[in-house]
Amino acid sequence: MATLTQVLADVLALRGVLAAAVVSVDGEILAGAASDTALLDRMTGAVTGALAAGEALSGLVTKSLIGAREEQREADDDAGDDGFAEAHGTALGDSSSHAGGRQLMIIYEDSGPIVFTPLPGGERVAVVALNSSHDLGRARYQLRGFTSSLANADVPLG
Amino acid sequence: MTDLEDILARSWARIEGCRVAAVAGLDGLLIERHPNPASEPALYSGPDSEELDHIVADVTTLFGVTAGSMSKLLGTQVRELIAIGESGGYLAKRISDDIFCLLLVGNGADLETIRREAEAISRELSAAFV
Repeated sequence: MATLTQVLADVLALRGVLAAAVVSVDGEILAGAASDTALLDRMTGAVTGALAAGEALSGLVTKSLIGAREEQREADDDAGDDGFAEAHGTALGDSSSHAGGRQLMIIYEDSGPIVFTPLPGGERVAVVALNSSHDLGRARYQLRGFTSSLANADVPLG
Repeated sequence: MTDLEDILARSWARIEGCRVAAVAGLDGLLIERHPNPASEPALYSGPDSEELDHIVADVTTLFGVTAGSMSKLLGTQVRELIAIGESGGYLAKRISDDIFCLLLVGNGADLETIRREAEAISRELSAAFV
């Protein structure tokens, strides 16, 4: 089985990726790779705070979506318009289960964006620093191909 | 070149007057494009990265706008959007619930060819995104 360092080297080869790391959900850096080690230091330094912020935000978003659903359900009950209720409920469901909804993106003004992707199993998070916001969509698509190996790769010793 | 770039590059070459072929997410983020100004800046004449990002965001909004009564009356989601102006036009075709392809063409491009090509890109891209 490949080590995290090997998989991260492949991630680093993607166009627009400047640094990549895998951290545990409590913020411990398991492995990292970067074209610029100073960037990796900055990025990993931001991880713990960002994870905490992400968790808090996702809680808020979930609550607001549930709240919106409940409000909509009440409004639909009042109006008795089943067709619209169904369409609206589907739209909310789609946005909450959308692949992009499982990621947190932070864009810093002085550097490029950083994408946090929870990996399957719930124990690890992939953190990737990008060159510019124009790389976001492509990087997210290409990262999908690595999530399984990043989640399962062996942590390098030392 | 990624598989997505390959697909877009082939379609771009088949459509006369095509300025950009792109694929984007319905969350408004551009995924891939061809040609890319970073690859051959001297030869490139299409919209720059920022302009294309804004166009993608606009098209995403339009798909959202058509998701209400317009879709309800059709019985399905709106699959294709066409916008034509004096100097060219746009065709956006929904590939799945998450992604769409976008073709930007110059004045004089043949609409039937563009639609046929959009259909072909959609098939190839939907296979690439599995």
